[in-house]
Amino acid sequence: MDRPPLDAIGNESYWKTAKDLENYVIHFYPSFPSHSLWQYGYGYPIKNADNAMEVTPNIILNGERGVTVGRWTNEWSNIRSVNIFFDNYKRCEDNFDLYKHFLGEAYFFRAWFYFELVKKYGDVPWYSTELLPGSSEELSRPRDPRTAVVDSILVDLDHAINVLSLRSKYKNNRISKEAALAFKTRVALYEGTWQKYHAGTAFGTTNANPNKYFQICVDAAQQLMNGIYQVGIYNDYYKMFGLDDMSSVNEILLYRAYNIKDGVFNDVQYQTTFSPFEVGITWSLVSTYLDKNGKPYDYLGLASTTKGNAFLTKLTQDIDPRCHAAVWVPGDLISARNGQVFQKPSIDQVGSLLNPTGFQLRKCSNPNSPGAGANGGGTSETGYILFRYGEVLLNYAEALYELQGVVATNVLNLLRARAGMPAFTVNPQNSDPNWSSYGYSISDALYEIRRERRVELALEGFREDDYRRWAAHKLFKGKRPKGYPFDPNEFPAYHPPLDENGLIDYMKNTLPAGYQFRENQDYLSSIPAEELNLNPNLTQNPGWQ
Amino acid sequence: MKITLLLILISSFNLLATDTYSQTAKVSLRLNQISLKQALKEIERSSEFYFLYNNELIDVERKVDIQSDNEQINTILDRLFNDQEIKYAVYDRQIVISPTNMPLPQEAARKISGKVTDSSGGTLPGVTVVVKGTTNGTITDTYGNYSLSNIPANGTLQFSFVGMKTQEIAIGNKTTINVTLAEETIDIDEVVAVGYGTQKKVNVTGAVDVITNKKLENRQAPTVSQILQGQSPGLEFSLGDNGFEPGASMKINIRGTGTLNGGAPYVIIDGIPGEMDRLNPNDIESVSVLKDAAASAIYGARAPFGVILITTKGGRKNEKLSISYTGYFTVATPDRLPQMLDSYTFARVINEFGVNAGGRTYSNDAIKRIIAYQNEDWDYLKQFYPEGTTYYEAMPLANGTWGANQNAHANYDWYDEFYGTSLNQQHNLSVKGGSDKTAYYVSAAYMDQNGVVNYGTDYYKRYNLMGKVNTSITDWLDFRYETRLSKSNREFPSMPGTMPYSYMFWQVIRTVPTQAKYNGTGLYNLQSKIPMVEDGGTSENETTENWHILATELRPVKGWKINGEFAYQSIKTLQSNRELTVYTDNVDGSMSAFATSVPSSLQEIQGNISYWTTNAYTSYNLTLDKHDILFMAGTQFELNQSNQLTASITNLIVPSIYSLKTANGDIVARDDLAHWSTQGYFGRFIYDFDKKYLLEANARYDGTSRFKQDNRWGFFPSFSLGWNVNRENFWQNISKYVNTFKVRGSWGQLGNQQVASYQDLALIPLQPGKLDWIFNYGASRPSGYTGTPNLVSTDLTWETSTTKNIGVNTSFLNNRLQLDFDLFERITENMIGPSEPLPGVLGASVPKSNNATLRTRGWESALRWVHDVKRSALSYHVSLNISDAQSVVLDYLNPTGIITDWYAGKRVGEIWGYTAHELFKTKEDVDEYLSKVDMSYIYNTWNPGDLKYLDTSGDGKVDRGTGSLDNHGDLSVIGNDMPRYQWGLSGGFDYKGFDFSFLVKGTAKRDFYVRSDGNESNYAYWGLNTWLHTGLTTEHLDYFRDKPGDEYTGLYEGDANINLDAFWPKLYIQGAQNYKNRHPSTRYLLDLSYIRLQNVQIGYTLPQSFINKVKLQKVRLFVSGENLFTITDAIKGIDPVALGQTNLIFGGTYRTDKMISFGINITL
Repeated sequence: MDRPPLDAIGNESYWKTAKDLENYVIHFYPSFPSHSLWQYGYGYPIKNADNAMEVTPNIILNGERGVTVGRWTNEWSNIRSVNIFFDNYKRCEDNFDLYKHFLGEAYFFRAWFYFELVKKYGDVPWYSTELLPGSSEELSRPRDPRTAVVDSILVDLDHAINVLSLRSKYKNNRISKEAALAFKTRVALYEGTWQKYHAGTAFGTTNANPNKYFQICVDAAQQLMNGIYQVGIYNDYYKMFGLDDMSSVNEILLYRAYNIKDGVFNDVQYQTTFSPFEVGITWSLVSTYLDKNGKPYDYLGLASTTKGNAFLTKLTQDIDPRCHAAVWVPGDLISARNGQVFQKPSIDQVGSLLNPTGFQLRKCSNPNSPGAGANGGGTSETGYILFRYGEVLLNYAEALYELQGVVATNVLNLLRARAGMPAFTVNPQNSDPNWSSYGYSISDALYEIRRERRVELALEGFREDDYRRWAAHKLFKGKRPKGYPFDPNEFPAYHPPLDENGLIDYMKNTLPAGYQFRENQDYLSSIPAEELNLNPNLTQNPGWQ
Repeated sequence: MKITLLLILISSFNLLATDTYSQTAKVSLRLNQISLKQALKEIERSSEFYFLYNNELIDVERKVDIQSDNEQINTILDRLFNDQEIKYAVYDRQIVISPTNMPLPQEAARKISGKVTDSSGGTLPGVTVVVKGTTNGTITDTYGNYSLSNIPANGTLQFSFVGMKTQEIAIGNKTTINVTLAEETIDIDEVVAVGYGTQKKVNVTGAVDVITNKKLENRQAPTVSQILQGQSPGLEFSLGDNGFEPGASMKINIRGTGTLNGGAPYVIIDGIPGEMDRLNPNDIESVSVLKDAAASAIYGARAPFGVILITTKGGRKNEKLSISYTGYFTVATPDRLPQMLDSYTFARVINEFGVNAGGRTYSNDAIKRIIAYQNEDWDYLKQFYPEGTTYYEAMPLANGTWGANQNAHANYDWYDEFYGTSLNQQHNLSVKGGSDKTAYYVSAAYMDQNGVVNYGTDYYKRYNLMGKVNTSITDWLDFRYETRLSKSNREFPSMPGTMPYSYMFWQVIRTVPTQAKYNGTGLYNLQSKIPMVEDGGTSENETTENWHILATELRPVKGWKINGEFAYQSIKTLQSNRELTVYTDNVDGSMSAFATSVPSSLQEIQGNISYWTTNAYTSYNLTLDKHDILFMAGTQFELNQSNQLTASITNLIVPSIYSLKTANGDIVARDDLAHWSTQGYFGRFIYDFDKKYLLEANARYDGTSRFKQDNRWGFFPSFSLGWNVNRENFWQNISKYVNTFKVRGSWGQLGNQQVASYQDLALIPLQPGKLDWIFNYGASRPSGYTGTPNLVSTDLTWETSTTKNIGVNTSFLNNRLQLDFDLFERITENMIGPSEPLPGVLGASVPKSNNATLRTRGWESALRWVHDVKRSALSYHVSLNISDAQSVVLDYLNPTGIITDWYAGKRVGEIWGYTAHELFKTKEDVDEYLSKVDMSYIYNTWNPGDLKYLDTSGDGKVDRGTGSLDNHGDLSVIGNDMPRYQWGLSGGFDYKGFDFSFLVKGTAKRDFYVRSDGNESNYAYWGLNTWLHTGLTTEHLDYFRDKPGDEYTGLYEGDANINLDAFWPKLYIQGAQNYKNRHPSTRYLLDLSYIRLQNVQIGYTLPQSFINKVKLQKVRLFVSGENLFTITDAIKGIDPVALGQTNLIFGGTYRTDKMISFGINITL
């Protein structure tokens, strides 16, 4: 009657070798974000910010997000899982050197999981050990201030940086010292700006010291920039995002790779070259790009005379080439295999074929991918970038300016040069016909640094984090996302709503007053109500009470 | 009892014979070296003659030979007795044999005469009337009259007739004796299988129902579970996602939901647990359904939710060898197939939905092409195609591919394209017989069922072999050996990715009528789904089951039995899943692979299960005067070991060679090993006094390896009482009207050990599969990693169900009418449910605990009418069974009362929904209503044709509150989707060689809500979600239309299009717009009650006179129809029986087939 399991192992017999630790820690890798399959193949989260739009107003930007229903157990399961590692890894009988990299990965993952929680919920309780059903005191602890949690994340990252191997050992599909440093700059900048721009609101933390985080960001970035690390700037901005094999790209510190032969693939090419899935790039993003001379460009002026395909074509001649890397222009090669070229945006289509704005997503496309132009899914191996050096440079420039008021021109010029743009200069805000208010005044230099960040990192999923940490809802609140200047001659049977400038105004009727972001509430998600009942010491986030 | 019934039928036949029977009757027999007694019996068997003789005067053990070929009886008998001192006399059918020195019966002075009638007053011809203890006798004539002479004064007359109770009457001085014979109750001596033994039905105190083989034979349904539908009250049937796929097994529930964690009845075949659907239905002798705890407690923790005991056929001792063949061919077609819209109608309708919201799909040009295609205006279409095109269905597109969906303009009803007919067959051959010591039964069967899908490979084949030998080694030692082999093969098309089989049916539904079947070159268009089904590979499953059963019975002294049973089962499964790359051609003739079918892959799974069990039990039966006592005690051991090896590989080099060797991807292999064992001790005590007062107690002490040591053992007792009221003296006067009346009551407890093993151990899950991550570009994913251990539960144990049952069995009108009724309550306690919730920061689900309670109450009733009309060749029977059960949760941890979860007081099957009666007809309606009621919780825009949800809570808004019992907004319980009042009606008659039988079954009450989740809804029902997620059929045309139509938009042109009194709401191309109208509501609550004509059979048995010429015992030809029609409110496309879980959303499943069979039974 005593029949122990035949194909599983008890916890007490595990954790003995470095291999045990490695086999356990690698199971966290799949939790990294990914490009996806079938629709929405494009994995970078671009829908919750003002760079892109869908056919229905985004519920977060429009203040329609409801309370978080149910429980948050699943959001803590990875934290429990990684804490089990920390509770047990010391039982490993192998030499420390044999398993220290895996320990570093565990630290990195714990930092990653907590950072996700902080971004979503703000204050959360910090646990560094597995909780058991009996540990009622721990289970019902109140939330720790987010600064304390972020400090713990940064400590974990320091541990990680100490023990992780260099990228040269495991390449860039595996966490490395470089990736951990890059992550550290991201976390520190996030918390520093969050505390600075939400200071004095319900979202800020009392007595927080933003400069502490800016300093950490600057230090970590400098360590990466000046050390012996394998970093760099890739020479082709457009091509980089559509690559399948990114292993030789020094700029890409960590990415997720795919392999069709092994049954892991994505639909990035399907979305970027065939089916836009009702996603369009907004006028707001396009009009942010400077012209080829690094000066603000009169987009509305152009739109009043030049429309449709002609407008798109003119942009490629006049403005920052990084825009063309993100937006399809007539004549662009879609598929090298069958010589298919882009004709016009699919604004008159329905369903998955619809692009509502005329600015059709091109970033991450790759005419040489087998999936380019293919009518079907699952055909691309386009990599998903988790960390690239370009972001670190932007993190550094922003933190340095916030800390010291100094513009890291030489660093930003690395990005400008790669894009084929002139050196970084600060344009006065009042010279920009497309100027848009952050809701508070900032210096021309910071405005320009943020612009550089927006265009360099466009459509890579950073924009949502950025407007949140900058408390920059004014950028889109009360406004509607617009498309390109519509040319009726190109679409005789299609009559989209247009605004006074002739731009496609897709939500003219459904969103007459523009996005209704609730700035006292929508910067954080609500703690699930059931969790508040289960733990009376938990408090609800601002605006959700 | 079956024999009895058969004899009744035969004797009914004989009545037609004339007075000159002995002259006309011809007998054919070939018998060598058998006893005279046996020879006479054989003559009786093959003719209507009856022999009367005195054993002591005639040497009946003498060995004789008979070789006769269609000869008169006199010829045969003369030959038989020619060298013997024996003479005989033939009186019509009666033949009296006596020694030559004895006078043959003569007319004598003392005569007696009379008339024999049956209980209805009809005369009974053919009744044997004998002076008891002599050979003096006769049989009644056509009018039931008899007369006998040479009667001794102190004699007793014995009247006997098959199917009637034998009656004896003292002669005394009477010269006339008129007798009314009572019919023998069909089941008066019926023996039913109960656990570890048999019992006379009259003595049974638990709730037991018996289904005889009569009801199971010659049915073309492929599996036993399907055939059992409608046959017994209290049995509920349901199907998985694959519906009625070839060889489908149905899930059976006895008496409703037993536990929220799922539980099935325990199936015992010939004393050993087994799988009923691996049996050949024709091998079944009878099926006992043990419903209450008293009946099934002997199985303890294995059988909390009833037991189905199957007894297979066997030979009988002293039974003549007979060989039977049954075979039939079946033509199957899908039942209730919906009709798609023609392409032009479809395009206009879709465009109208697009105008409602989402944008028009079909451009005017596209519609012009659709019209041209329908008109076969090829000249018009040619302008769009390159030279050399042969089919004008799919447009050549700019990217070089052939167009699909709105870029195609064909006109297909894909239901018609995909569904057709299938030809199926079954063959059974059995041989049985027995000597006085040994009986044997051997059978072989082959079944071949094919899917009705026109494309791809889809079949189920089953091969059965069975052998059974019973032998008496001595008169106190019996021995039985039984072996069964069952092999089944199922092959069906693989679906891309990991999509299930039902995906195919979903794809048929959603293929739009304009979709091209052929590309310009004549190859199948990818989007027709035909390449996917035809070329995408198949999955093939082969299951081979082998049983060896050894059983012995020892009877050391009278009343004492010792039984030992040992069984070994081995199951071997071979599964091969092949996913091949599907190619399609481009406009330039090049081929490209369908992306989701790359890479091709092969998965091979081999599994072995070994199962040993032993039963050892002993019983002692003591009869003292009127006291009858039985003790039984025994023990059972079980050990199950299983292993499974799975290997998969990608990139098959040659698509038609399915081998791991011939592929160049990496092999991923894993194994799964498991084992469990149980041990049980059981006992039974039965006491009956004068067959009047019955008492039975059962108990079992059961242990299982699935639980932790301390929680491993459970004790399960049961008690039952019975009272045969009709045996009481005071019943004498009533017994004329109510022939039998038995009252039963029982109480018992059973356990449920059917839970996952090892829930008490903290295990690091070893994941042998591939990690979803690549560590080096170009490399494969690494195999083997470990996962997070679950939180463990240390105190999990049995679920315990306690059943109380009260029942009556009655019969009326000379037992022709029988009524059984049972009332029960079952409470399942310690049901495994959620634990007290803990804060989510725990990061894992809290282990479950035994803390929930479920109560099921119900009743079942069976009403049967059986009548053989003695004077004609007619017999007929009708029976109705009906049952109902409802389950309610009494205890469940749901502190906030979330209504979507279980809560105390929730009935199983409850549907929560809004109240809504009508659609908004005009914009004014909408505005007027919205000014009073806020419906923004459901959706923010409302149009004419949308559903008007009522604000039942009166708070000015329609919402679901907090979704809890305290605050459920405007939701209320609007129905219940558990089937209620399930019934089966069966009947038939035999008349002059013709037989007819039918089975109708149904569910009298069942609500159903065809689900919508998020933006997905079952569009087989709802018509569509979005463009390309459509399932529009002619059933959907009554949808809301408030705008005039034109050539390109709308169902009808002009104002004729307006339809404000529609059934379906306004439809849109946008999922969210549609979904707002599909929240569960009273308006679209479906009445899923149904009546289905499950089976009709008409047979004709060729006349004996004809058959004898070809030396056959019996030849019957029959036509049988299965699923002939269904009456239901559900639209075509929704099968009220085939409803799975997943397909409730996607709408695709294998629905019922209508089957017509032609068959023959031959007995040699």
